[in-house]
Amino acid sequence: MRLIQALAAEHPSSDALRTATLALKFLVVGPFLSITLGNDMLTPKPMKLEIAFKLQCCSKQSDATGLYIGWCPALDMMSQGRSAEQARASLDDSIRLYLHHCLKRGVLDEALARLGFTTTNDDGIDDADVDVIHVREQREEVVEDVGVDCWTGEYSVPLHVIANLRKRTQAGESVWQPQ
Amino acid sequence: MAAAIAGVPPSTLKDVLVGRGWVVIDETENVWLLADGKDPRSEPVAIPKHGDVVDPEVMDSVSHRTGDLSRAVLDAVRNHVAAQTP
Repeated sequence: MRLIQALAAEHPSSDALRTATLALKFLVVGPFLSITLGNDMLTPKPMKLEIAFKLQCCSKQSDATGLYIGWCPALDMMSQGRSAEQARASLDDSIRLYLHHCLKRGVLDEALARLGFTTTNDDGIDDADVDVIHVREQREEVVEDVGVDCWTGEYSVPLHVIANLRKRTQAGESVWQPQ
Repeated sequence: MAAAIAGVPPSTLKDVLVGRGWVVIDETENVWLLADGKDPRSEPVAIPKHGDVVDPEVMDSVSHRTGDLSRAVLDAVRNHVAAQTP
């Protein structure tokens, strides 16, 4: 439950539009738990849980090339396209593949730490042991530029991956070392 | 630095990385995702597919993620641009 609380904790930000906000929310995908009655047996079906979070992204047209540039400040990730829609789709693919393969390779924590993500427990959360992920400040000029289009993208990762990562960390195992 | 490496097609940037031991580990119609083939725990890098050239800002973003290869990648890209220039 503590893990769920931690993952459900949404980082409040009075500067929501000015900061790249990682809002962790708990998302249940599909039936949380379905039970089938038959032959005097209760058969629990497997659960599929995912952690959904939001990342603010922006796009603008480049003066240098005329291409549209998509930027996710929180991940400091950029992509491009011939149109705003293509830049957005390209950035979206970049983020999804990046997160998926960072998780798969066991380097997401390290990558996020390099990007300035930190954990803290002093953000008004009742449970002192709950970790809340903070995101570094976004460069302000981005949202103040004329011609910049911003949106919030939703992404998700499987809960069991996070749980395993946390379990390994709590067991004193360094998540940075090769398995 | 960015201006010096403008004019490189996305596929060339990808090929430069592949030529230095990076491998394409995933792709969509919009991007390639590459990682260091010698390091299974290297952080992946996304290269966009669209556009005749890689925008300098995107190039900077990519080069910052290629670690020790950054200088070698930039040098290789510069050489490519020089070779294409009459």
